[in-house]
Amino acid sequence: MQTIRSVVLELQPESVPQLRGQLDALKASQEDLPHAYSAIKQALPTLHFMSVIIFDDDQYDPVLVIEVNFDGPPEPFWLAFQAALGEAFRAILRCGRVPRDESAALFRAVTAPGSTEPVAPLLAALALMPAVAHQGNRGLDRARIEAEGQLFATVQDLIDHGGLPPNASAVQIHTSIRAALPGHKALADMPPRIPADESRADWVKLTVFVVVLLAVLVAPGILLSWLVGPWVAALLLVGAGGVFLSRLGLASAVPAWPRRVALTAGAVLLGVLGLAVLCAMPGTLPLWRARAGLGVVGLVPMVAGIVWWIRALEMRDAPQDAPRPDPAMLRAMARREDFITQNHMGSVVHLRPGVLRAILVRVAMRVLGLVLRVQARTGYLGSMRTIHFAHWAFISNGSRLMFFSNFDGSWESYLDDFIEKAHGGLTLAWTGAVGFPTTRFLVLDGATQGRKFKAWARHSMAESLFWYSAYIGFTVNQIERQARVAEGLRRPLLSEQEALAWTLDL
Amino acid sequence: MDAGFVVPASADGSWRLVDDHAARAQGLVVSPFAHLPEACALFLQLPPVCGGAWLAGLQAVCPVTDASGKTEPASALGLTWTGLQAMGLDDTTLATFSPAFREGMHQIDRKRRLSDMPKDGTVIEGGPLWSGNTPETFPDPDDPTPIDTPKTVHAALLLYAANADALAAMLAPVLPVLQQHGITVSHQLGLSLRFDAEGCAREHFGFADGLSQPVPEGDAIVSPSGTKLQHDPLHGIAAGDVLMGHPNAQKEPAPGPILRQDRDPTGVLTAGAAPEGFRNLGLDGSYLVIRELRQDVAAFWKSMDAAIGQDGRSAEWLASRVVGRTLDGDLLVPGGTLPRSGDCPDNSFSFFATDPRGLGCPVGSHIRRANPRDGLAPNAIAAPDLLAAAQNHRILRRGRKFGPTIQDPRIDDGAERGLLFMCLNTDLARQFEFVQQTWMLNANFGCLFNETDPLLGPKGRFTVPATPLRFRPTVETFVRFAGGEYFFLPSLPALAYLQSLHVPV
Repeated sequence: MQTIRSVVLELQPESVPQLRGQLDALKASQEDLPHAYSAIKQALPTLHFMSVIIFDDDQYDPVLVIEVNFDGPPEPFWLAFQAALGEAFRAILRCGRVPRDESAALFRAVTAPGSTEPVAPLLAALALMPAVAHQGNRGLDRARIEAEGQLFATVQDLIDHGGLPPNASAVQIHTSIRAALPGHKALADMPPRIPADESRADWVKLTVFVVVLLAVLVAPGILLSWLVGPWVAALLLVGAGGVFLSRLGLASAVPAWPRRVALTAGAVLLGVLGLAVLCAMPGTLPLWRARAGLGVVGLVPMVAGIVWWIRALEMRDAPQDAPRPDPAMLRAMARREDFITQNHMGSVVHLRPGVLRAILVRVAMRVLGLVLRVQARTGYLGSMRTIHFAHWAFISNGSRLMFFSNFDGSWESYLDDFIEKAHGGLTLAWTGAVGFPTTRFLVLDGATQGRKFKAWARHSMAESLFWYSAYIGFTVNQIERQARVAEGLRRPLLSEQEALAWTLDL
Repeated sequence: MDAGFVVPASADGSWRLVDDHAARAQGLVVSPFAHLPEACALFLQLPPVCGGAWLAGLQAVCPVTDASGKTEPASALGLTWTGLQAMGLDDTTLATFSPAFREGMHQIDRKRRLSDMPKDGTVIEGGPLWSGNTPETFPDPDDPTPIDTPKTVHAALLLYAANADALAAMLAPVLPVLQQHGITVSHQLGLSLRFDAEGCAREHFGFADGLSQPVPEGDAIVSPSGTKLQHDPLHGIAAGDVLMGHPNAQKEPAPGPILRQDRDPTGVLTAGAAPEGFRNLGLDGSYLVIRELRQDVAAFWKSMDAAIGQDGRSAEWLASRVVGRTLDGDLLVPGGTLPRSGDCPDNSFSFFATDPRGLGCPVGSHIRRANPRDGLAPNAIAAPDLLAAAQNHRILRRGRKFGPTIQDPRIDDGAERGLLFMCLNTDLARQFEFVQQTWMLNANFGCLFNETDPLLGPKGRFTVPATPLRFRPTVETFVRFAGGEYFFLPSLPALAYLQSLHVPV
């Protein structure tokens, strides 16, 4: 089980230059080791990716974000973090502003001059849970990724140095490789990547959420029938449904006649449904059934009303198609990219105001998070699989949305992947953000407007001042390939079919 | 880059521009001038402040060819960012070009992305010879050395003729004009299509080339007979991915440079889709990528010999796997080659349905990296989407070969030869650079690990998938980058505007 946390701290604006210096020094000290970053690698054996970014903003004072992606629960991780980097981060935290909530005392104690108070509790207290998280190699802890990577390399060496009998069949290849690697640590029995109770919990959470959402949507109908009686309630609901549906038809961006016809038909259907309920009601139905029925009928005006409201907002949303570029920042970001297989992106955007927006962005995030847990178990978002760890989190009292991603390939190709292969989910997540390209019905358009989306996303980013990856040469796909090779070798015997499929990964 | 294997006559003439755009666009957009086999590239260095008079002089003796029809001879002209600056194009307008063009191909971060750093092992000894020498806007505090190439190029003049005499006749009046305006030819290459006896264009290693090209589609594009083109999912791309101002893959007019209206008092430029108060300097123009790639033919064939060892397979067997096609251009498929429907190799194939694991055409082979079609799909349902996604990154190739044919492909004669890779696109980052970085030289392309393009990349492993076990030899470096730059390929009205530029007094 992997955990994602981000520590967010408001900074004293005057201290930012000094803090940048400290982060540069931290980076340099890690890069200057005989094996770059080996100190962090050894001291934090469960850490996959870590970044430290300062986000500047015209509307907010700068914030520091420490993003960590690791195995297991947070407590032992923060203790290990404290042992490895505690003093460096105590000095970094001193550039922060004293929090105004209950963590103030702890912050003062940890950052006081000469303090020896442990840093871990403060980091844990400041750490945010992601609103949505996604992982490419779910259930693979770092030790396993590394062991399977070594196993893969050993197998390649064996093959390339003539360790196989000539003209061996696939089954013979499998057995002879297996025989040559007795007791390799990657071949020990491994627990299932996603334990059954974790899968069950994912489904239960999604189900509960859907049930609660439905309950909220049928509640107005029931409430209304209780308040004004079934007859009036039915009239009001059918009327509201008709109004919203016709408004929706008129408000829709595409003034196509088929849509109008469909909406008219929908309104007629709603009327018929309402009439049916009405006819069935007097005396023949127990009151509670009538109310439940009206609750269901009420779904139509509720959903139509919300969708109409969304469209009304979307048509008046102001995109920022040409964010003013900061050439120095663009260069600063480019200067740190494309050195290894993976790249990093950190972004902060403002959220659009309004009641519906505030509710929607949270519901959308919830839906996205829960659906990803049950839907993206193999790491694929649509047909793209390039993300190691990514997450969204609300900051600044929910007025800003933060996005972090550790991904394979260039930033351009990563964004193109989203634009071409997974735009719906991304549009849903960012539709409530100020300046995001225009959307329709929360998931359409948006990120498909590639150039505008890239310009907007790039503008929301800041340079990753410190960034660490535990396995710089491995893509998500390669880690899965290594896992398949190891999985095959854990089994004593493969059928001919299985062996042929298995050898294709060698 | 699809090693720029250039299109012969077969792909020429499957589409054309409608008349008004044809009269505005350069002929190079619609044609590789395959009917004009003799060509040369003149790379020009302008004096520091020169205005547009030289261009007017050049147009008088050697007008840039438009896209209206077959012309003989033909010429094309591209300008680098530093060239436009030297001509006195104002800073506000210069800032409206795309970032990649403004920064140049040799900007340090870009070199890293394109694998053009000396450590990448695919650059000629001593570093590239020529570029636009675009100054770095934000020099690296750690490494302030500017990236300078010995030769500076401000313009590329491409001349095409039916034979050597015609080319010489074409060149004769050009040189005095250049001299008159203080322009030097800083670099020059004689170019050819290298047709063999059967009329098949071959690159220096011996492979038939230029077999696959995208076909632009849109309101401005028609078939040669003037009818509307049918959408081709395999080769069709948005016209705006080749021509600025036309709807591109992202369904907006492809952005290009714009110019303040008051700077064009004579009104040679039209508004196009430019904002109020501006003229569209880019409309019907494009970006031309030029890269001089030297090929070491002897190293290639000797490396194939060495890699094949005592396996009983031939060097040609491995070489065709490196490319993904046979020497004659037929696609490798599991168990053989793709049958021909006529005289030409069949190019209407996709990978996922017939060869998902690359057992015929290796996943890491040159042509599969250059255009993976639907081959990167994780499953059959995703295949059409992946094909559509790949179309967003296509480039229109216009390259030609330079240098003499080698006598014995296994004996190095010391002569310089190779490919002058040229391609057209409107979004350098999404098209050319994406192909180079994410497909060709990506060490993890298509689930491969630690290997790049076997033809273009540095020495390294190359996986030839097979059952029950892949063959994975090490192949050497045979192609080296010797110079290159991004050029703006202006429309004819844009050229007319540029030649009206005056030296500021």
